[in-house]
Amino acid sequence: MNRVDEKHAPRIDPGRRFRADEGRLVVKLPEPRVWVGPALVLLGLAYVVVGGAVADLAGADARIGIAASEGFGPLGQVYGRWRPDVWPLRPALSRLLFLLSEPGKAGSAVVLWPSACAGLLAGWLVARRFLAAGKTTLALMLGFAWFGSTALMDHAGSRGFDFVTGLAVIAALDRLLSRRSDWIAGLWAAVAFLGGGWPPLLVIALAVLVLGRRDADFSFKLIAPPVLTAIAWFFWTAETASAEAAAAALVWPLTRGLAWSLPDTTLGWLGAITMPVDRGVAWASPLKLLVAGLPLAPFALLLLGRSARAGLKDDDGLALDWIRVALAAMVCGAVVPGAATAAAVPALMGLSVAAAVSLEAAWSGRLDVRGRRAFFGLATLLVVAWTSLTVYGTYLLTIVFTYYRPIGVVFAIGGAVVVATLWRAFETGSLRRAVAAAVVVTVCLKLAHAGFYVPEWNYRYGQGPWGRAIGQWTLPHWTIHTQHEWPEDLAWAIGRPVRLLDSPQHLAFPETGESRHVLLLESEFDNWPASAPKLMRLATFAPPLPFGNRRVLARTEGTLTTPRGRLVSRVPATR
Amino acid sequence: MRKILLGAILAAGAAVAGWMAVLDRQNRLRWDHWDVVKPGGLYRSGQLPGDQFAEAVRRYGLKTVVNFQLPGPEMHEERALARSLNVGFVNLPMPGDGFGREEQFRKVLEVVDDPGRRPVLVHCARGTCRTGSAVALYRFERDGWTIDDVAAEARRQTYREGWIPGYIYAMATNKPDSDLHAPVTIDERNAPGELDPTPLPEAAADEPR
Repeated sequence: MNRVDEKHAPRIDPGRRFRADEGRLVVKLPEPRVWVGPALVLLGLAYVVVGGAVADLAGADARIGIAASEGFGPLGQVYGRWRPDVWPLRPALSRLLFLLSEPGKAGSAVVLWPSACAGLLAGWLVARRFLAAGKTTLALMLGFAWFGSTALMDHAGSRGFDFVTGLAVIAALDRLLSRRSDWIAGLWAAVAFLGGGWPPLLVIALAVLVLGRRDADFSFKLIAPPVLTAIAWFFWTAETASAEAAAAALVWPLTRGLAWSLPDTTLGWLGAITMPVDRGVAWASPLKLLVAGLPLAPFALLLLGRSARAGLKDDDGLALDWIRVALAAMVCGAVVPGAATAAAVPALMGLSVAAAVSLEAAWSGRLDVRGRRAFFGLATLLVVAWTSLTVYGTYLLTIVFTYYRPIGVVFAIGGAVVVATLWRAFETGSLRRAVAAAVVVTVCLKLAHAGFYVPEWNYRYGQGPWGRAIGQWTLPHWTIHTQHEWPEDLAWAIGRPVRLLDSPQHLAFPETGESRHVLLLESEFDNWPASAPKLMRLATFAPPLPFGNRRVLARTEGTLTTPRGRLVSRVPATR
Repeated sequence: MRKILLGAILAAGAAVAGWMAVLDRQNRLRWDHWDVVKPGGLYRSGQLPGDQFAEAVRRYGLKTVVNFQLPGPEMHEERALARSLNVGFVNLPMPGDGFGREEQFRKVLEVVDDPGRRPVLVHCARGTCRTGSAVALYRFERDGWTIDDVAAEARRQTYREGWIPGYIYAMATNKPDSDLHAPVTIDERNAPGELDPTPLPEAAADEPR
């Protein structure tokens, strides 16, 4: 060792083997390109699949479930009648699962799994492009923003999102954005038509116009598959149902109307932005999407700053294209009647890409001083809001609802980690730690959603217990007749075929000698006409909420067909 | 400075947690096992201190309280308080494991069914077993719930044993007729000279049973 080396050599105390700064453990990760792909797969599975199919069905999802358990056709059937707003793709997928599940035991999963898996595939599809372009951090951030959003956690049609049709639209757009207007894009457009009719095609067409690229133009390959599918579907519908049914399905979205009124109460404003995207006032659509994209979607606002926008022109402008397409979809959903559901998923994807671009800019240190301040401000806002929720939630879960105590303890620890991470971010001025704090919030949100929100919602607002109470009185193949349409969520929870009667007298037909079950309001039972088949009251069910009406399950005299043979009514019918 | 601040936060957190634990032991932090069974109709809880009971009466407009406690100071205190608040009081003393007599649980239904006596609060000491039994019978008889759903609700109220739903189900009259499951009992002695066996269900299809 020469004199110079001696001068710069570290002074090591022979009595100490290690110094504090020498004790740092450096773990060398493999190249991001190697592990980000599998990490995205695991991320999606953890966020979307865990607890992904345990919620009771409501609204549009319940309609799909009922349609899946009826005969398959060009339109879905609910209560044995064609529904113009139920297109065949989702019932077909659910029907596949329905046939695979135990007879009479099909649960919410037959509807929710296809939706969850579609959301998962849509995320992977887009993140894969960024991964291929070498933007591994952006791909990972997109994973957190998309999979960690409340919309994906719910993936429920009752919130106005249709992820199955959305997957087809996103796949077609992905093809247009990353490749060209080819057969594959056309085939995805055709699938989108079968999922939601013409509104998804309108969203794709708008994207083509907004992109304005020669290779992503209206080509024969793009147009022919959906047009041929539409023609085939029309003839199929005319053959199976009627031309009027096909026309009704095509016109249905236009009958939805658009409301532009302003609420006049605080609750009204709150309701406006938390309502499902396909309902309520049209001007609130962007705000609803922001709520659906929580917790990371607000970071998309950072793109208003120049330094965050700088990353948009990398990777051939793919991120910028997604944002342009999303803006077009958002406008389309707000101004075209009936297009809100079709526009929601691509718009949410664009919002997630925008949020991911901002997060990536923060992670890589590209933000200027104003951008850094804005990022810290947003992260602080998010963490403060989450901490307030955590404090109240921990009290609720560990002390009030002690049934949820294990969840409450983990929830509290997660909240502490979030606060500590942001604290450290402020101390060290590290944007990476602030990003990490925001990401941990999505993990905690997932925990609270799957562990508390869904079971609580099922218990307090789901129709499951009431429906199962009614359903247990009949075997799976026994039909229950009603006089008017029931809420679809109750009909689904009953788990039996439900048929509408045009009049009480029709209950006698066809004359097979079989006993028929009727579910009536109490007043309907009391005023059952004498000219209709006589009824025997089986059970009465109180409604779950005080403003509902009691239901009476009754049946006519006759034989009951069971797997063990035919049984004859033991008690003569009294009315 | 950082260490002092962190230490202060931790110390404050520990103090708050300890204080909350003490309050929780005294049932001051929440209404013990309070829950809504049917909004405007039936509520459930554990034994509430006087001020919480009065607040529940005010907030939910309770008209009747059903107390399952054995006679003692708590019961007498609540009875006097209910009288002062013009709230009906029903005492159905039963053992703490929830295995009360059927007529006691039927009395709860009678009270709940009377529109003039609703909303009703049912409670025992902790709000799990005796209260759980009464609510279970309400679920079976009035809501027609399945035994699985009633058991799930009992677990939500931290009842973990699993016996009460079955015990109460045996009392319920509003449950699917046994015809549904075709419980045909075949009991053939097949003694010499007996030539008239019970026909199988398929053969008996056209004959009224």
